[in-house]
Amino acid sequence: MKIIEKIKKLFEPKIAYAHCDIPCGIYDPHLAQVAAHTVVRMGMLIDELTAKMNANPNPSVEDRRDFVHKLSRYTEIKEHHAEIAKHEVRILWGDYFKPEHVQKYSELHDLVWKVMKAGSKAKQEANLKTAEELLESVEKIAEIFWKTKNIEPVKRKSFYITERTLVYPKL
Amino acid sequence: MTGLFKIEGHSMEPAIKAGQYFLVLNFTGPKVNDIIIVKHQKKSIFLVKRVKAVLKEGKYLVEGDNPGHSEDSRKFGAIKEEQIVGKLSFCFWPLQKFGFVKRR
Repeated sequence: MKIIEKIKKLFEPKIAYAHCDIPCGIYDPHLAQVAAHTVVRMGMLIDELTAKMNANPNPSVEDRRDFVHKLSRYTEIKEHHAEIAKHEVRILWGDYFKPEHVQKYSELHDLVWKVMKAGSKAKQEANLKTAEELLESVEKIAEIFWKTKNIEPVKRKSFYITERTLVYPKL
Repeated sequence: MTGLFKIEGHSMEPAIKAGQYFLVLNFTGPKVNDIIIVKHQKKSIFLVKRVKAVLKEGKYLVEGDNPGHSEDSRKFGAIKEEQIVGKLSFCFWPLQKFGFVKRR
């Protein structure tokens, strides 16, 4: 047994880190919220565009081309920003939040999971409801983030055209 | 033979990716552009870096290939020869990357 353990140890690889282990310490949930708002806005624009097209019984070639062109642009931005929201939340989750935060806010893992799922669904579908679910979970993470810094989070109406809320730190 | 090493992190991408396993050898002194394993100056950990310059008195400047994700000689200065464990010589996992490490 000892010999096997020795052989195992001989071939056991050590870890070599290729890390950014500065760490920079710059974290903010604002970027994830802005990205989620953008996904909501694209959902609104897609709905408006579709309604406009449906209201036109005889669309011309130009109308159809305009529809396809705008829909492509809105979809591209929607996809991109859903991924940004996921990316930003992953950074907070992986780099900022510590075990003691999870202990205090036991819903944190579930919220991150919801962002990942809602972010992917927001890419798969052109659905405003999914975008709103993404924003809702991102906001809850933003609230926890500021609480972990002993700063009271304030949720209020944003100044964006989405007319949805944003979580700010009460400074 | 100096040992087997598994890579964690992204500072050497795209040349070296997280999860790759390497045989690390130390037969000759590292040359510019070799990828080496370095002992951290303060912590008891190993880092993987690329040699950017060979200085006098057994000192080397090392950098990550992905500077945005790397702490290297730009921060901690030149490293000493005794910190060098060896050269990444042969990748044995994953199988798609199996083979000798080429110096670029």
